[in-house]
Amino acid sequence: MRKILVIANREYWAMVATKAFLITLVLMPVMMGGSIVIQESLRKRVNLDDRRMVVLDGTGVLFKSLAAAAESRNQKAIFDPASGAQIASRYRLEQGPAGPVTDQERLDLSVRIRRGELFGFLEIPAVVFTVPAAGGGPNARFYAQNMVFSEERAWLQQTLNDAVRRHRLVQAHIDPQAVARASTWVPIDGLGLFAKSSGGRPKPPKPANEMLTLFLPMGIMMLMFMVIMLAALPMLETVMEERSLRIAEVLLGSVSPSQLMAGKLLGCVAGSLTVVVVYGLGGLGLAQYYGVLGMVPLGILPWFLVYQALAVLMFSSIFMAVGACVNDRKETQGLLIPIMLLIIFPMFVWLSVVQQPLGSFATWISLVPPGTAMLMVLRMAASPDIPLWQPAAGALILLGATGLCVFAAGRIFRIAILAQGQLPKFKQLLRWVTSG
Amino acid sequence: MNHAIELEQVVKRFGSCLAVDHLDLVVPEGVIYGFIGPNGSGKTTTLRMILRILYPDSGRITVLGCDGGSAANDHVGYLPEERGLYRKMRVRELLRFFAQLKGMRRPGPEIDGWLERFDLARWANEKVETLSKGMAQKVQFIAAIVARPRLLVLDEPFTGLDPVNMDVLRGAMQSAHQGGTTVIFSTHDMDVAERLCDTIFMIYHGKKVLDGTLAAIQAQFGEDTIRIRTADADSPLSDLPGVLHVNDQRHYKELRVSRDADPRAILQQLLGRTTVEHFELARPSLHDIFVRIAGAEAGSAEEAANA
Repeated sequence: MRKILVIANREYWAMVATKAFLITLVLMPVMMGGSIVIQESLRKRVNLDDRRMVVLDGTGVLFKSLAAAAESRNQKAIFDPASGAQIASRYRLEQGPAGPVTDQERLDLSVRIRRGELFGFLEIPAVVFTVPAAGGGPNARFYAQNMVFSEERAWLQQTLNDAVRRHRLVQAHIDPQAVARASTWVPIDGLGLFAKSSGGRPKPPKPANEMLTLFLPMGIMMLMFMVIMLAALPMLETVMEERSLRIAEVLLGSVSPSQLMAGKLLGCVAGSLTVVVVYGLGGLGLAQYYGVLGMVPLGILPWFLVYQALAVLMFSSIFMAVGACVNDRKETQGLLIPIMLLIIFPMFVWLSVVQQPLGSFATWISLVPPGTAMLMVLRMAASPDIPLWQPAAGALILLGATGLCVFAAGRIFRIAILAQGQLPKFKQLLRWVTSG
Repeated sequence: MNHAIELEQVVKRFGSCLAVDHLDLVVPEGVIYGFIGPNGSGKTTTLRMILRILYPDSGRITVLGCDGGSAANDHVGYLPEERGLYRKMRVRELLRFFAQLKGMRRPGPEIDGWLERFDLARWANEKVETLSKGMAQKVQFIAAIVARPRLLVLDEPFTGLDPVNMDVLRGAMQSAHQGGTTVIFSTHDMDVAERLCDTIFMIYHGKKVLDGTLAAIQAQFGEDTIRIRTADADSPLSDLPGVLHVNDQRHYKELRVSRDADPRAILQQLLGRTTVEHFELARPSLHDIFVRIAGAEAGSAEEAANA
């Protein structure tokens, strides 16, 4: 046991006391959070130039409402309520010629848009107030260079519909104010379930933050992913070095292959715990800072640690076997791709799982290794009502799969680490695993 | 005398290749035992089996009285043929790691002593990757010897060393031997083997072909060698009566003669051809014996190794 600890100690420090580890430790969350920060900062850095838009109003009555709404928006909605700074462009609406619109007019306006004199133009058909029997109304048209995700189009759509609805109500002799009051929206807050408090009293659930409900489980799953990558991947490099520099031969002159492997895996798990502690404390600090600490499902921490240890053991042993077989980095590439796909597989299904964490798809997919670790913690973070047998069964299944992986990798490792020559073929690997 | 190592009918195959073929060997404690043999003859495989890095397909290996598992490994130091050091570790840290793997709890003073002796003290806190090849080899030797092993296994310890470092290593090896350590080393340098070894073992195609003291081995071949030094470097001698083979090193030549050859007749003929500066009837050198057994292929390998 002492020799195993000596090896584990070396592996641990070889992993955590390197610049690469420290840089990756910092870079991983930075890169993942970076895209959010960049998008957020880009969102704030909008073009504040005035948006000049021509309205070709076939009805002859709607332009006034639209222009008034634009003016009202320009007075208030484009300024940050806290700082008073302008955060959106002013909309300048210009009335186009009345009467039916010809293609020549459309072309002329398009030319003006291309020249940068206009942002776009809106074409409102004369029959816009008519409601066809089938329920569908006549469409207005907005022409611009970027109209798909255009905020201008969305604003025009909302404002035009408000104006048309008001006009239709008036035509039908209904008070628009009364309809507006009657149509007041009733939001539904999403809440979890009541639980029993320690005194046996009903304990109400905490109100949920919808964004957090979606992204907090994802964050926890990503933490598991980062732990696996940071702890297991260095094993590949270490074993490759030991093989290519014949260090393994010296080590095996002092310890058995099983002791060597056990020490390495132990070191890996210890390294992964360091990552968990660093990221975990960092995450809790952030949660505390943003006042959402109460929403962090701390109850899943023991499960997280169990799953993290098993997943790290599983993938470390696989990387160890790969490192023992390859002669150089080029040979590593072909073997790494399928393993990396196995690791990132949960990311392909996370949204379905987090939307229905208690559904049968989520349940079964989270019980199938090697995605069990990431998907089970994702589900547990998404819903507190996961039956206890499921994480327990998942842990047992993962334990079995990890045992198999460690056993198979151990057999490959002890033969391949001293072997020379070509990369072993799949058949040969299988023979090593089955016959030792 | 106790035995450090006993091999009984040991066989090791790699696929269809028979690397070690029913090998019997006894290495007494406290000797310096030289393993010689051409490349691919089974030396390293035998050493690896002694170290329990590889296991024999059949036969029995006893090391320091233990004939199973790796119980003896804490008392066995090993210097592999290809050096195995972590490049990113610092020298002292690396030596502590290897010493701890051999069961030492506080190896610090021992490590410092060896670093001092090998003039490596100022490199103690440097990374291995900054060391020269010779320095790295000395570090590797310290890693093998730092835990005061009872058995020291050195695979080609002098390869690539300059004469100064070779002397340092040889001195360390001899002092370990004087301290009671049994030393086994493999080499392609026959001069080193002749000078250092109490007993020499030669393996060829996985079989033992020589095993004994140098004198005993030479006695098997008799006094069939004439060593001469001539003034003329290029005089051909293979046509002399009774000469079977000439090892021609220009002014220095080694003649292998038949058992019934007359050395006086050979000397007379020689004097008629060139000025003879030295003439000696001797037993064959280890180099000559090696070449006789392993043939031209092995001889050229050895010459390449010595070059």
